[in-house]
Amino acid sequence: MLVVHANWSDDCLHLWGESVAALRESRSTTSPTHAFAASSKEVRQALESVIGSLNGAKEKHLDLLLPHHVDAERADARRATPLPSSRLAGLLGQTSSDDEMLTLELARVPTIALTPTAALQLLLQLRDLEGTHHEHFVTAHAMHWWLVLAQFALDCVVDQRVIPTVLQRRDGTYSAQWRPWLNDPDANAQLADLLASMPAAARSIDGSSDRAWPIVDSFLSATIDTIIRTALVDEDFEESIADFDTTSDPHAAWLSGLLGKSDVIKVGRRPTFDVLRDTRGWLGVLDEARSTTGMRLHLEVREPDLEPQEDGTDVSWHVAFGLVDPEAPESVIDAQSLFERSGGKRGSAPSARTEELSEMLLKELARASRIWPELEDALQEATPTGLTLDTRQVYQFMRDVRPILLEAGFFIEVPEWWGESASRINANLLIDSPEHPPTMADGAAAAAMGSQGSFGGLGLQSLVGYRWQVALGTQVVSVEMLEKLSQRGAPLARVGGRWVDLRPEDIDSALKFLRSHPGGQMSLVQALRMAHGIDGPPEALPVSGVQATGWVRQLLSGNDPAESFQMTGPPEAFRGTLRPYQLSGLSWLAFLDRLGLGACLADDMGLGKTIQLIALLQHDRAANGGASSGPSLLVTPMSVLGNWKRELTRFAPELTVHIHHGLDRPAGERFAEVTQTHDVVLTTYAIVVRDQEAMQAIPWRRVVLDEAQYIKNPPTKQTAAIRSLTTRSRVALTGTPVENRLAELWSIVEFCCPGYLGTHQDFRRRFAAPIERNRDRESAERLRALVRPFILRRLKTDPTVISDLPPLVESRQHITLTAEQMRLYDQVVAEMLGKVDATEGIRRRGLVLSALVKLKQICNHPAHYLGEASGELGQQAKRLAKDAKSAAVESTSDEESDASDLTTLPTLPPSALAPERSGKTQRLIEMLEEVLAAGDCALIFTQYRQMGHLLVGMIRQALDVEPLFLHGGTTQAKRDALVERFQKSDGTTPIFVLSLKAGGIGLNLTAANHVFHFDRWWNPAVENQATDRAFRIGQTRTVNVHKYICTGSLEERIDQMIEQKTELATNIIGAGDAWLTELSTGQLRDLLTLRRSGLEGGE
Amino acid sequence: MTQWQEQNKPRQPENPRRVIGGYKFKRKQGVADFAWTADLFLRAILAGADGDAREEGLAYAISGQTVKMIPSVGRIEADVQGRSSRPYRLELAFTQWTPDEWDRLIAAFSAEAVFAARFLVGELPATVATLIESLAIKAPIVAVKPGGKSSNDPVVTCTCGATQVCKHAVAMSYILAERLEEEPLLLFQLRGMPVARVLEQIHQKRTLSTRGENQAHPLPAAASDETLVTPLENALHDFWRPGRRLHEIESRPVPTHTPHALLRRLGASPMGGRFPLVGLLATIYDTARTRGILLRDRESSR
Repeated sequence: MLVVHANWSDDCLHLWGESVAALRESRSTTSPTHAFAASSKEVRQALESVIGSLNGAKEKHLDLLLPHHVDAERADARRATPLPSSRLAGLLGQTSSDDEMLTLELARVPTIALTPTAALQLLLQLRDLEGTHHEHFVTAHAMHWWLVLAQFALDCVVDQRVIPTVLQRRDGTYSAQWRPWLNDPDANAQLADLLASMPAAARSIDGSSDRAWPIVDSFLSATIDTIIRTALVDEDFEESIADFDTTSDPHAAWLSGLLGKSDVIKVGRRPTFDVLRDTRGWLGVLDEARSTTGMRLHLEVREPDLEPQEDGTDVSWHVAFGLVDPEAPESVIDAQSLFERSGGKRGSAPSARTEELSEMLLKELARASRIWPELEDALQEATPTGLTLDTRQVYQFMRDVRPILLEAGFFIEVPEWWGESASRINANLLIDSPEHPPTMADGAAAAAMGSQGSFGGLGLQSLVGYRWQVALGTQVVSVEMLEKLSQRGAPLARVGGRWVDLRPEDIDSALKFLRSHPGGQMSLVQALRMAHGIDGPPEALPVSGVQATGWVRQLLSGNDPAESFQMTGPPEAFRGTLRPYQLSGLSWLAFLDRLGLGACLADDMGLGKTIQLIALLQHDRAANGGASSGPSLLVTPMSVLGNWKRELTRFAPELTVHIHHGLDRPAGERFAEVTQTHDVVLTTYAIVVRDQEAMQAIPWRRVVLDEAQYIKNPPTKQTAAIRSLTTRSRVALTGTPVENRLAELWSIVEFCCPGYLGTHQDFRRRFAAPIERNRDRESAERLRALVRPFILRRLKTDPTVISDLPPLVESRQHITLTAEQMRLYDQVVAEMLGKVDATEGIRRRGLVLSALVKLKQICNHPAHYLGEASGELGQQAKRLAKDAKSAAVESTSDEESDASDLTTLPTLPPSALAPERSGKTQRLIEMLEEVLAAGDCALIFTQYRQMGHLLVGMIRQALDVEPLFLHGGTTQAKRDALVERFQKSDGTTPIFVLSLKAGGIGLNLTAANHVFHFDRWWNPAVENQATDRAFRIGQTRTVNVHKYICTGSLEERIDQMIEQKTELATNIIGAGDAWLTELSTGQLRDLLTLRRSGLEGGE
Repeated sequence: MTQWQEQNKPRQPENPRRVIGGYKFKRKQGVADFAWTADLFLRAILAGADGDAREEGLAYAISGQTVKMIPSVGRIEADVQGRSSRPYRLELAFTQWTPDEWDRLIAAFSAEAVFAARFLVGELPATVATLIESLAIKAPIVAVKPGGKSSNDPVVTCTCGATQVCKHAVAMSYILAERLEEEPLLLFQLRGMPVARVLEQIHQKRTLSTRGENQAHPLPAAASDETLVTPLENALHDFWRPGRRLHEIESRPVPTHTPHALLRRLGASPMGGRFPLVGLLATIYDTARTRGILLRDRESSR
């Protein structure tokens, strides 16, 4: 496995790699060669395994200045070893190296060097591969920056922001080059972002004085030049200068250098210098706006005072001149008043300032007239104040001239309506539907059911009436009206009291369109797709959306109460209290359910998706006269199975729940019987695949997916199994912002509303590619409108939600142990109980205490208990640890009194970092993903330093962020630095892992709005103190506290005792673990034995 | 004035021939309130003249003996009417700045907008003198040796044959000083470049040099903003990852495409009317755009 890096040097993209194998061999070298760099050959092979042959790549090497460990034990600093890159450290699960002494040292790396053409090709391929995994290599973090840079170069070409130029090289030769034009404000701002975000690694070439611009400049120019030159050579552009003598005419030589294969300008020095000077003067015009100091020309388009006449006589528009200070563009000095002043009406001499301004206005007008020749007429006057245009001229000005003037730095004000899509002819779809949707009760609807995947409500297949209408602005217009406007032929027209942009081509297509689409009936899915411009016939007309009557109108308005949305009351027998926004969520779910439509509830984490869903299940019963309306299947990740069970029992005790899990779960016929007698069947994603056949046989009332982002594309067995279920309605729950993750969005909508977004390929072509690659706003907007009726996502910051939220929301996460955890847990309990009777006194206490520690470790993660860093990588890790002088000198505080203290090991084997081995870590990663997606920040408290290290490695690997870590060994200075970095909350360090002892008091960490208690301390006061790091003065958001408890384990037992305030509990609190040692064997057995509740996976 | 009086005033010069329409030194205040350029220049000339020449020269200047004065690049020619029948011909040859020195100077001027602004209104700010010194340009804007002695800059030659600075040169210098008071930027021309050219070169932002690296395009502002980049030494703990501002680029909406926007701003080509460059460029831009779209939207070859 290699980590592939890129550097740009000598007009080549150099790729080099860090090799995991080489790092393990830890070959020691005295040469300046990087200690674990891959050979050129290895880099080539790794890349070629995925992207195909890299023809023409040359084997080279580069000298880089990279961070190295300072080896404190050796005075000889040249023996320093290179620091693994952030990506490599993540792969190896190395923990934070912030404490280390680092130095910048020279390291030579073997590379393969790609020409600009090949480099662009490669970067574009890597861009397509981003997010996918390969066996042989991963790309370094900096690679993403190079991809963005390559994309930027490409955008410059596509957007025609390139110029031909002349370069005079140090050796006195000249060459012709295509390069980007980056001097306009927008491009310059993007360039500043690119320079500021350039990773240090990308400018670490020795001798390049670590400046960003020369590298960016060289990369962009070389890339753009190669794109354009190749295109021009392919199309033989050099022929166009065949009649010129390129050997003596310097300008022709320049052109030849721009159009041909070779960029060299081969005429004498002096004449070429003249080309350089001339070109400089020519290009300088582009830069004028920047070099002119002072005021800029301001043009304001004013609407005619008179309404246009019916007979078609034209009206006059006025373009008023003025001056504006670019620093304060809101105040305009108009030319009229300026000349009045300088004209000296009262006979007094004009002030110098007025003179100066008049002069400036004239100069600016002259500058603008080069772009817009119409202004020359105005310049004939002594005191030009404006220009009168007819409708056609003003239209052409606003459409064609304005964008260019804007880019040249002029200020132009046009009427508000200009440029709004609502100001153009557009088509919208009118859907007619009755006030009430067809329901199960309707005979017709019931008869129509049974088609694949859907029965009951007709859902997306319901027939609705539709017809197209054409609107001008917001006003619907008739065919007659359109024809009349078309005869008039003016490009702008006054309709319904406002101006609209009336392109003749639009009128033609509108007329043609209306004639060929008289309307009729079609299915809801067709209508909605068409209304948003998909599958729609109106090729040439912008589709402005959809209007509807009846229930479709309600559907489209989402759960907006302003749209008189029908609210559902909290169901009877529901034991919880729904906050107002939760009630509206329930109403929305119930509404879509009635229509037989799928729904995706994507509320922010902490807003209570679970409780809304449980209310919906209870609502089913209530709506069915208190009887079961058929079994609902609830599919969840294994880790939260127990949590669901608990919440169901707590909020809806009336519902009968079958947990379909474990080795002895019913199969076939028996499963069918069981489903008939339960309201809810609770299972995991894995079981759905395994019991696919039995599941398919059941006509589900509803299928619910929790953490629906689990179904992914390309479809896995799991996804296919879930899609194959027969159900009346479908609900997906997810806390990630689905709208922004297009792959996820398609999968989830495909589950909720099969077929709605088309095939995956179709979706990629139509939406994903334009949105992700070209950041196409229109496609993004259309997609959002299209899925809006089916996705409800509320943020904690939404005004409707925020007022409903208390400042502190506490929840217990009941986590299911994995099979491995259970096995280990049982072993430890059995072993302890087997010995405990035979011992007494201090030995007995020791036995009990050590068992207790082990059980807590097992609940955290098997690797925590097994001390798994001593495996294959252990030796290497220890060596590195020694090199790095990492945590070895840290004192062990009592909280970290693990039997196998491995905190000195910065490197952990991959299996130790597998979150799926523990229910807790699995759940933590899931939840953190949502935290990150929402841009939130989290504190994670654990009692164990070693677990902290594991968490840090795991988070880094799974989520690719760098968590901060504070533990007992952290120095005071370092603590302050960590806190400051976290509180800065600039998004770079959103996760902070803390040991409870070291971080539980004193710190102010209000940047966090999530607090995770990963393992439990028996003392609620200590936990609350830790929570108060975030929940304190200065906190402006709701703080969500998540307490992790393993179902059936001692964690849950003790938690219950504390909750119920038992007598035993008072002994527990504040006494540490000592009280446990005093328990009788019977009590111990009762407390520690794993309680099975059918949740345990035997799988 | 009588014959006697003239004879009894030894320093009184013999009357030169009268001139009609010559340049007369008119300043009522004398030389007292000259601005620094004129003042410095006059001192430089007077430092090389003896007392007689100074006084007679002043008298010549006041009576308007200077018949003609033509500044050109690097020198001034003047005719001053003395006692002989024909005017004496004078030449002041100034040390010109080398092209290289001019390059440096223009580069410095263009770095600060204030220079161009003052030059535009015809002023020569005193900071220019210090700037010239700091750029290690050999000849100062006006050469005066320490101690007020004359340097050989300008080299004064007069057909009267005097070896020192003669009264004719003094007379003409008063006139020139008065002109410099109005038009100090004339000094640029005397140092080798007419002010219009200086302004033009400043306008071209950075001057071009026939040696070293150079390019026809101006640099974008962000290119020289050093604050954007952290030195490697300070980035050791955050060496590998792109900075946060990368997200800003990625989330920035793409501007709507305006065909040939740059081209329409550029105007006529540097090749003059000989070749329809702009038309060719339009085709090139479209070809390039097509190629760019092809590359951008190319589905992966996987």
